[in-house]
Amino acid sequence: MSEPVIALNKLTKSYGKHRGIEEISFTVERGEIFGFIGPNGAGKSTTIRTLMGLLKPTGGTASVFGLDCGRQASEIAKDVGYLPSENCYYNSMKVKEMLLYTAELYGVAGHNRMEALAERLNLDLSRRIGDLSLGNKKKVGIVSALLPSPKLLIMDEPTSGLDPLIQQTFYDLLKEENERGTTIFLSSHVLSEVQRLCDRVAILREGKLVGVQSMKELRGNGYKKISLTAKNAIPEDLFSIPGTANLEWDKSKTSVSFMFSGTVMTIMNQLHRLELEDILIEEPSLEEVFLHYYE
Amino acid sequence: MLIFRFEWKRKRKYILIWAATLAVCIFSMTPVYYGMIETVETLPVEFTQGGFFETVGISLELLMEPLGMYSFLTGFFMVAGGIFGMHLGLSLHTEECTGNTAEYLYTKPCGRKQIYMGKLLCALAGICVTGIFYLATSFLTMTLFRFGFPIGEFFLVAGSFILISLFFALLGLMVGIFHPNNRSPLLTAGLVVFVEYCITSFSRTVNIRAIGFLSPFSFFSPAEIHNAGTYSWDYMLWYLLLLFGFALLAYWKILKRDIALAV
Repeated sequence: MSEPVIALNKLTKSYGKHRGIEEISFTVERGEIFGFIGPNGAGKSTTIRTLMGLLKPTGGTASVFGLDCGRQASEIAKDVGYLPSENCYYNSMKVKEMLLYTAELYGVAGHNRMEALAERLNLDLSRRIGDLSLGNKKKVGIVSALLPSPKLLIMDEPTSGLDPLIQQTFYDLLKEENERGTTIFLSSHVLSEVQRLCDRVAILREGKLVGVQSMKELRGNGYKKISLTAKNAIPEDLFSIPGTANLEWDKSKTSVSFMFSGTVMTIMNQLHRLELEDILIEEPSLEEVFLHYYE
Repeated sequence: MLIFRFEWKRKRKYILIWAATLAVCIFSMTPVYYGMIETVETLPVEFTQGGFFETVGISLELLMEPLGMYSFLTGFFMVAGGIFGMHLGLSLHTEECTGNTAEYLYTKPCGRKQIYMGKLLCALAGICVTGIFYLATSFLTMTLFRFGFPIGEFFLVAGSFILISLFFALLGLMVGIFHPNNRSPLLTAGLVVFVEYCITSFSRTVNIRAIGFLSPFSFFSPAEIHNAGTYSWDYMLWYLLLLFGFALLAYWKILKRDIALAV
């Protein structure tokens, strides 16, 4: 098996009183699209900035292509396209100047690729960056990250500020890059985006890794979302059975919805005791599975 | 060289405006000041007896020589050069943080060492350009208005301007790396240079030379240059030590630190 593209081993970054990240470990394999999800302040950007060598870890190790992120950041950067969550470009420069500077920093002749990418993303190269809208600045970041045709793309909240049409183009671009063999690591809290693009996800909560799962596992972890309505009030302890989570009652106690991961027979036995008016058993959305991790 | 070229392009206008302004000022002010005094007797008594000239590093004897008034003026231009140098050095790093561009630059393959070297070179080039402007205009002014001045001494006095600017540029670079979130680099530069100037004046007033080691303005006293025909070796040694200290400390810090991002 080939060496992982990204390997984090008990990676820790603390900021004194403020929470950073604690003992995060996972790997990203070559050619994967790997999602990194969690609410704001969970530590996604801290992890990414440590990977990019901007922050020095206070514990553990982080490596990209087998190189240490703290000591060999510039070596790593040669093969990495990075899109930060915030716009961080020189406002006084024109888009074209900025992108050509990026190409120079990577030591590539990026003129043709820059024009092709700008055309697809509908980005005006002649405008000054300071005059661009948030969405257009994001496009500059996307072109800048894709320009050197990197082996690894690291993107922090890549679609914030993009309109739906451009988002679609962006997804297409990512898929094309991935088909060419580029590994993609993206953080997001837009779960539909992660659901659509990623092979695996790492879930982060309050600076700690909750779990790493493939999308298939995440969606097929046995959880079903059950919503039901009965003629009479449902006994409160009826669903106090193993595998039940996120119980939500209505005021009259005749309707309830919950997540269930037990056996079919167990739930059928309980349901049998009710005079049901309506029942809906469905696949939970990724949002619901995701929220379940935070409960 | 890529970082240097980029930084130079960003700072070129600012550097040239400073250089041209200082050149115009020294060219226009020198003859005006020469016109104001012809002999010591024409000066108000408060100036000749209150020790005023001593606090700026000039003796009355030197003031009456062709190079005297120029040295007196250069003492003040050194303050301007110091502010320029410190602001240039500081802003090279603080602008990346306050302008929110650090995350872009520091994630590119150039690496921290290249970034440091590029910015250092830009600061040095800026000091060189202003220094050359100042030196050339001073020489032209002196040749036009007070011909017959000692060339060697002139270069030592005019060179003080460059050395002071260089000192503060490296100090600014180091401070900028340690505190990249500084949103008022010009104010910081002005305050630091002013305090340093006051330290020198104080050391000359109380006549304690050791205090002078705390401020670079003490290292380049025109009166001492006039008497000895050179810079003081102990001050110069200390100056060089500080210069290398600033550069090395800044280099060490930039390799070690987390890159501060705008908040």
